Formats: sequence, structure tokens, C-alpha cells
Amino acid sequence: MNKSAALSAALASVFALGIVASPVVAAAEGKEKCYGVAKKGANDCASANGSHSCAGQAKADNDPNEWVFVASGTCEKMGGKTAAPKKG
Amino acid sequence: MKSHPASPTGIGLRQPHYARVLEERPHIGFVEVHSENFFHDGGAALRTLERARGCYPVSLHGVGLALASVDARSEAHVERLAKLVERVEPEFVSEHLCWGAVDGVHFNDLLPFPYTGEALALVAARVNALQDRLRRPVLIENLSAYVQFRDAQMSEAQFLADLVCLTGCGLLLDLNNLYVNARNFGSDPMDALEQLPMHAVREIHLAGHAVTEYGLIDTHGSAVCDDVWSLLAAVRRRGVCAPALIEWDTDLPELDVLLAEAARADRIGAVADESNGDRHVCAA
Amino acid sequence: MSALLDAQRRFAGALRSAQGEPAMLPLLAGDTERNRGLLGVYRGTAVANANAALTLAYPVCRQITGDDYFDALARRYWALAPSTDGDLNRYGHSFADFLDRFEPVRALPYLPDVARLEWSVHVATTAADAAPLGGEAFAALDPDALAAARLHMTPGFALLGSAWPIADIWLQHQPNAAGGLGDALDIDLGQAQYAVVWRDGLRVRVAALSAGAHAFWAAIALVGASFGDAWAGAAGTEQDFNLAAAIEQAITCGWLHHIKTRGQEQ
Repeated sequence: MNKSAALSAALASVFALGIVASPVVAAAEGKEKCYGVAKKGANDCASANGSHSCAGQAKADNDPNEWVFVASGTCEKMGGKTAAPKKG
Repeated sequence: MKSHPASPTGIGLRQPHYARVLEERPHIGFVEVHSENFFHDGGAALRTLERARGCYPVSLHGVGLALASVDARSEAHVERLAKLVERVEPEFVSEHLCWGAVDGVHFNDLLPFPYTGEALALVAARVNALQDRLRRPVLIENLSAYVQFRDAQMSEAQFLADLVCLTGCGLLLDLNNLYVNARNFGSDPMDALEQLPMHAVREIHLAGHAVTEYGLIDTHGSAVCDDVWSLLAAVRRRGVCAPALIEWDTDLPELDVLLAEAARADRIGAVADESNGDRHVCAA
Repeated sequence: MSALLDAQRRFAGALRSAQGEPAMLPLLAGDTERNRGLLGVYRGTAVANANAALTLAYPVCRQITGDDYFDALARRYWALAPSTDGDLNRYGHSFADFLDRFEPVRALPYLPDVARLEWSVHVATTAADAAPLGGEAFAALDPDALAAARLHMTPGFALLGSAWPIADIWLQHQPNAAGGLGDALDIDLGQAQYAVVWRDGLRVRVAALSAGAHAFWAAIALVGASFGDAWAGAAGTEQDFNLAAAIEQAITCGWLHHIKTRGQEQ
């Protein structure tokens, strides 16, 4: 099959979809309340000072020069298969 | 002397309360949000605000314009605010008396500055430009400040009184901020109240603070304290009917706690018969 | 220089680092030691506000590193690339580039690409609302017109390629992920992956894409190629590339916004 014939076949497959395909979003939006999806605003902290949940700490010392931190989140659950992927 | 109700109290509307407020529609006077959280083209947060606007008057409270920043570069910010104002047609648009950015860095905090003639000219020009662009008056809020400047030429209250005269802006009187400053700097909060033009107050903020080794810090993370309730009563005795707002941003409690605080504010009515004693008259 | 600008520059210096305090303290009234502590409170607030904003934009990175490590990353990043906008929602766009260059993160080599994916999700969250295109738009075209047509994607649509399984990593860190986060994650870190981000109504979705589908949509969305040229590129990338399946997925998921035929391109 030459290229233009292959393209024709591919295009034909799209037309075969016809108008059957339609976005399923509209239906989902009716069920989904906007306020159930809305995320917290990033600017709420900016109106207050030294808060606990926003600030974590009221007083900041300087950044330690040494990097003494060890990642201890879900990276551990992804462990075991940490070999670098084969580059192509 | 007769007491009459002030305008009904509102609450700060934050994400954890979106669902309950929109589904139960509690009896409150208005809701207030931080303008910058809705500087979007679309999405769920903006849709939620539009839904809230269908149920309540909305107050847009800005935290990022930093009006007193000499090096502000805020044209884009003002345009985003103007677009939002057009979209939600808010009851109030407010900002803080603070600076926040210099040399291209924004600290996203409400920072104090020396109250000088130079600063007054700058802030007045910014407020005038903002009101021209939005084609409506804005409210300016007094600040919680933890430091004071040696070179200050006037008090914050005097600065605000002059700003009202120069721009015709309204005041958002934050009684917790007033109280925090008075306690931290060893002054009487009533003195600041005397200096402020009560006739310009359009909204009152009520919030909680934290007591720390550095003094009182404005955390918006607890109930309004008794002394601040007393200040509200004092303001109401001066005939100020402007609505109060319960502002709570950190360690946010159940909605019922905010509603109870709002109901308490509603019970402190304004006194009609006593002239407000406002001696502030702008020079011709 | 204006006295006000001078005061703000000194204040800024004290906020950026404690080393800026000596220049600022003489401007302040009251006890110097107390003022030093208060400048520390302001400095802490600035760092913490930036950290809180970064946490909202990069929740998966935070889960991967744990809180202490992420807080320290946020502080380093703020020192190098502080906020430049009064809207904290815009803060953090260059976080992935910072992670690329930050030596200790080499131990988590997938983290920069996960951050890139999260920023695309963050941007899509607030993208303009748009009604997606239905399949009937294709029925109105003849094959030649379709081959020459250019497709335009709905706001928020984004594509990412990575040497790591970034779509799987992201999906398994969602609160409603199958199996939850309690168990070991089922992620093959040896697998490279293409990811697509899009707005499904008000929600943001992420999925993995085949190499052919990625080539097809990248040609359309990033290069602005015609439908026919994009197909040729995709067919060259993946021999079994299924165009009909790709279009069906795009229509069903709501990726397509409008089609411009040759005459409309002018």
C-alpha cells in the first residue's frame, strides 16, 4: 500500500466512526458539582501571618548549607525497581 | 438611645466550606473571597464563585496588589482584577494598605512601610488609578504590622484619613489588626479609632490572632477575642452600620463555628441616636 | 533614590536572608533584638507562603519526597526563584527545571518529569471552559479536506514525554487511585511513558499515550501540522498506529475544540 492509499484508508476509518462518537463530558458535568472539584486557593495564606496550616512555622531560620534531608515519602514504595531505564 | 441592626454579617468563603454553603445556603449577609484565587480563565473554582454569587452578595478582597510598592509592575494584576470585577459584580472590592514587591520579587505578604508624605502621594495615586480602572470606589484595609519605622511622619490612622480625603476610597476597618497593633506597640486601640474617619467605613473585619513570643500575630486562625468584640461594640456606638465579616484562613473550623461568630456580630447593633462623633472633615 | 524605595529594598534584603537584617534594623523603631525576631517572622511567612503554594501545585511530588524533604526543596527553590507575581497560583512554573539541576534530586530521577506533569495539571485546572467538538464535525468533511485540515485542542490539553512512567506515577498518587496508597505501588520504573493531560468538564484527567498517538497529537497540538501530515508522522513512529481509535478517544474525552479547513486558515 503506498502512502496516499494508506492515508485514504486511515481517513476512511475516521469517517466510519461517523457521528457516533461524541464527547462524554457534558453528561459528566451535570453530575459533578463544581464545588466538589474546586481546589483550595493558593492565596488564602497571603492574608494572614505565621499561621500553622499555611506556614508550618512562624519563624524561618536560614537554609542549612548542607543538604541533610532524606526523601521518605512514597518514593520508598516505588523502590526495588530504581534502575535507570534503558535509553534508546 | 435606640439600637438598630447593622447590615448582616458575612463570612470568608474558603474551599472546605464550598459544598455546605452552596447546598445549605445559611443565612449570612455576604461572602468574601480572595480575589487572586479567581484570576482564572475558567475551571471549578471560578464556577463555584459564580454559583455563590447567585446566592449572596460577594466581596472581592485582594491580597496581591501591594499598593505601596514603589516598584510594583502591577498593570497585569489590575487587569485581571478588572476582568473578575466585571464577571462577578461584587458588592465590595478591597485591598490592603501595604507593600509587597520590589525589583521583580513578590513576597506575597502584607508588608508595612513608613507612613510618610512620599508614601501617601504614591498610594493615593495608585488608589485613584485603580478606582478609575474599575470605575468604582475601593475599600482599603488597615494592616497588622509587627514593626514600625523611625521615619514615620504620621500614624497609620492619620495616613488612612488623608487617603480617604485624597481618593474618596472607603475603609475596610479590620478591628483585629487594630487591636494587634495596639497591643504590640503599647497604644490604646481607641486612639486609632478616634483618628479614623468612621463615615468612610464600608466593611469591618473580625478575626482571631495568636499570642507568641514575638507578641500578637494576625493568624486568622482562631475565634474573635473579647477585646475585639468590645471594639466592635465601640464602633457600632459611633453609628457605623457597615457589615462585619468573619475572616478565618488557617486551622479552619466547621462552618457552624463561623456562623456562630457571625450571629454574635449581628447581635451587636449600631446605635442610631448617638451622633458618630466623627470629626473628620476633608480640607477643601 | 526615594526613601520609600530604599526602605523596601532593605526590607526585601532582610526577607530574602538573615544577612540582610543589619541594613534593615536601623530603619525600625523600638528594640533591635525584638525587631530582629520580628523580621524572622516576616521571613518565615514569605517562605511558608511560597511553600504552601508549591504544595498545592505539586501534591504528588510532595507525597513522593515526604514533607520534610519537600519543605527543604521549597526553601531552596524560593531562594533561587522567588515569586514574581501577586497571585501565588502562578508561583512554581520553573520548579521542574530547578529539580533537574539540583544534585540531591538525582536520587529521585523521575521527580522533575513528575513535576512537569503536575504543572500541566495545575494549568489545566484553571484553563478556560470550552465546549468540546462532537464527531459530526468530521462527517461534514470529505477526505481531501480532512487531510488538509488543522485540529485545535481544548484549553488545558497538554502532552509530555518522559523516560519514566510519569502517567502511572501520577495516577497511583491520586486520592481515589485503585488500591489506594496504603500498599506498595505497582509502578515499573524501567518504563518510559508519554502522558496526556486534559480537562474533562471541570476535572483534570491524566492518561498514558502510545508513541504513535503522542506523535500524532504532538504534531497537531504543538507543531500545528495538518491532519494528513500528523498521521504520516504517527504512522512512521508506530507501525500499527490506529487513527480511528485516536480520533474516537479524542472526541470521547473532549480533547478537540474545533477544526479549521484549508479555506478557514487564512
